[in-house]
Amino acid sequence: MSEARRDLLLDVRGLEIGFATEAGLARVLDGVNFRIARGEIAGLVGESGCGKTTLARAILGILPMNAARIRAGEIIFDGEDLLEKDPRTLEAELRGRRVTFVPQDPFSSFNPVFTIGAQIDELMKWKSPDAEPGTGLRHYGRARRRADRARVRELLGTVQLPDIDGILRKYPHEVSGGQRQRLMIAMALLPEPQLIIADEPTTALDVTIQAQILQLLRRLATDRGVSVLFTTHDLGTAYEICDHITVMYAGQEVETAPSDEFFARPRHPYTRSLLASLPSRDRGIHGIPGQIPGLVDPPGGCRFHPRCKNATAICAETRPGISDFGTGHTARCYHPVGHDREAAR
Amino acid sequence: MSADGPLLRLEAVKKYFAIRNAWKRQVGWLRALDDVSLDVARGEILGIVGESGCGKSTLGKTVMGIHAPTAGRIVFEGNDITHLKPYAARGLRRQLQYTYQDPGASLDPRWKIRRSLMEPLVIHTDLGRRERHARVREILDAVNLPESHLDLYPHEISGGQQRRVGLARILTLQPSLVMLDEPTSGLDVSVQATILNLFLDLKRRFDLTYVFISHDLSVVRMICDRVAVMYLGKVVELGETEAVFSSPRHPYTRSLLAAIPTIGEGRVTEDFWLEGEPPDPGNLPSGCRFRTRCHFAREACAGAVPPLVENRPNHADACLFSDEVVRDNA
Repeated sequence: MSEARRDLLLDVRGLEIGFATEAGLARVLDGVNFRIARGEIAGLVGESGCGKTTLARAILGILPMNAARIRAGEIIFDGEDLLEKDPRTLEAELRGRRVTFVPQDPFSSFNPVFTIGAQIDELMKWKSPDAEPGTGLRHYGRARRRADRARVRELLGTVQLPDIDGILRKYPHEVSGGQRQRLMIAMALLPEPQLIIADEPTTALDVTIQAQILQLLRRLATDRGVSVLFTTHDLGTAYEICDHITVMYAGQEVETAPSDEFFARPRHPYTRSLLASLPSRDRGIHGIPGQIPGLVDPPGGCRFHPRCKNATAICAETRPGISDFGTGHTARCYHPVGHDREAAR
Repeated sequence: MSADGPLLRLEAVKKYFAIRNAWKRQVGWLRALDDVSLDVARGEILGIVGESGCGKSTLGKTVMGIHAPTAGRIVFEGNDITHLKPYAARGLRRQLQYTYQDPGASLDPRWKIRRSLMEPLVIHTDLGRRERHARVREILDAVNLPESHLDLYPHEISGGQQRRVGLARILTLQPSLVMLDEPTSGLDVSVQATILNLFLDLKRRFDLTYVFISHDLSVVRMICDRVAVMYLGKVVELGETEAVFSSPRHPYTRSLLAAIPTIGEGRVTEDFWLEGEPPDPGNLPSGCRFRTRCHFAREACAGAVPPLVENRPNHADACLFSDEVVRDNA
C-alpha cells in the first residue's frame, strides 16, 4: 500500500475553510491534510458536521462562494493546485470530466421532468471523453453521437441495469432507489474520470442494496483504475470498501491509515471511541460522552480534547503534530493509544 | 386484563391499500401486511426488521389504529382493539404509544419544549398545573435533559436531544407498550449508542415493553429479545434474536445478515450474492414472495404461499426448504 501511496493523485495540504454565518466565522476545516493515491478507494469517515462534505465540495470547487472563505492550504490534483486555477478552466476541463461526483440522494440530482435517457444524452454532449473541452453542442456530429450512445449502453450494462432501453425512456421517479444510484455511478464513469467523489452514496439505501452498490463500485474502480473518494459516517461501510481511511472530527483530520492497519490498531482516542460505539453484542453499548463542539468558537488545540479521556493541558493549547506509526499510519494526538493493546473488538 | 397472556397479540392481520389509476378506479391491491400474526410478551423487546417497503411501519401504525386493518384481530391486554370508537381509542393511547421516525418533525416548531411535554398531560390526565410540572421535571431527569431545555424551541436542540424529548413526551403518560419506529435512524453512532442505553434504562425504570421497528440489524441484535423479519408484507422468520442471527432459517434473513458491514469479518464487496431488488409490491409473484431472488427456489415455491411454521422451538420460518438453508449456513 505504501508503494501505491507514493503515486498521489490528490494531495490536500493544510486546507482551512471558514463559513461566514450570522454568529461569526465557522471554522469548518482547520488545516486538513488528505491524500488519495491513484487507483485507490480512500475513505473519509466522520460524524455529521465533521467537514467531510465540505472537503469533498472544496475539491470539486462547488463551495457556496458567498459564504465560504478559503483561508489557507492547497488542493493538488494530478500535480496542479486547483485553488490557483481559473474557475472557467475548472468547469471546462476538470469538473464532470476528470473529477466526477456521486451524490447521497440520487433522486434530487435528476431533473424530474426529463427522461433518464435525455439527461444522459445531455451529459454526453458536454462531458463525453470525445468532446473538446468547452465546445459542447457546436461539434456534436453524428459519428460522435453514435459513439456516445454505444458507450452509454455498454456502461449501463456494466452497472447491471436490467432492460436498458426501457430505463432510458423512464422518468427518474419510475425507477427504484438502487437503480437510480446505479445510474448515478454510470453517469459518473461516463466521462472516464480520474477521480470519483462519492458523498455517502449508500446512506439512503437498504442494506442488501447497499451491499450490491458497494460491490459494484469496488469492481468498477478496480477494473478501470479510477480513484474514489468515499465519504461515509459509518465505519462498517468504510471497512467494506476502502483501501485507506481518514477519520475527521470537527474539521480536523485525526487519523489516517491503510484499512487493515486502521481496524487492527486504531491509535487516536476518537477513532477508538467511534469503533466502540458501533453496536456489538459482546461488547455492550458505549456512547461518547459530551457533544460535537460548535465550529464558530471551537475548543483550542485538538478539538476532541473536551471529550477525551487521555487529554492533558497541552491538548487544549496547540494542535498535535502528525505522529507516524509506520506503514502509512499517522495520527494527530499527543497521547496515542499504545502499541501493545489490540484493537477494540 | 390478564397478567399472563401476551400484552399484544396480532391475529392474521391484513392491511391492503387500494392502487388506483389516474381516474381513481381501483386497479389492484398493495398488500402491505398479509396475514401477520405476532405475540408481544410483557416486558420484552420485539424487533421488527426488514427493508423499506416491507410493511414494518404499516404494522406499527395499524396496531396504533392510525390505519384500520383490512382483516384480522388486534388484542391488547386481553381486549380487542381492532375497531375502537374514537373515545375508547383515546383511553387506549395512554397505554400504547408510538414514536415517529423523525422526532424533529413530530414536535411543533412554534412550541417550546415545555409546551410539547405538557400537552399529553393536559389531554389525558386531570393533573393540576403544579403536578404536571413535577411530572415533566421527573421525566426530563429520566431522559437526561437539563431543565433549561424546557424553554428552547425544537430547532435549537440537536437530533439526539429531539429524540430524548420525543421519548419524554411519551413517558409522561406512563404507557405499558411503546412502538419505536426507526428510533435511531439519522443519528451518529456515538449518539445512537447513548440513546440505545437510554431505551434500556427507561425500560427497566418504567417497566416498558418495546416493539422496536428498524432496518438496522446490528442495533436490533444488540437490544431485542426476539425478532421478526419481514419481507413484502409477510413475516418470514420469527424467533429469539440469537437463534435468528446465529442460524437463520430463511434465505432472506440470511442475505440480510450477510449484507451488514461487520468489521473484522468477510467483506461484502467480495462475497455478497443476493441479486436484484424486491418485486413491485402491487404485482407480487405467486407463492413465496422471495422466490424470484432466492438461491434455493424450486417449483414448489411458486405454488402455495409457505406458511410461518415453528420448525424449531420458538423459532418459526416461512421457507419450504429451511433445513437446507441451515445446512448451507454451516
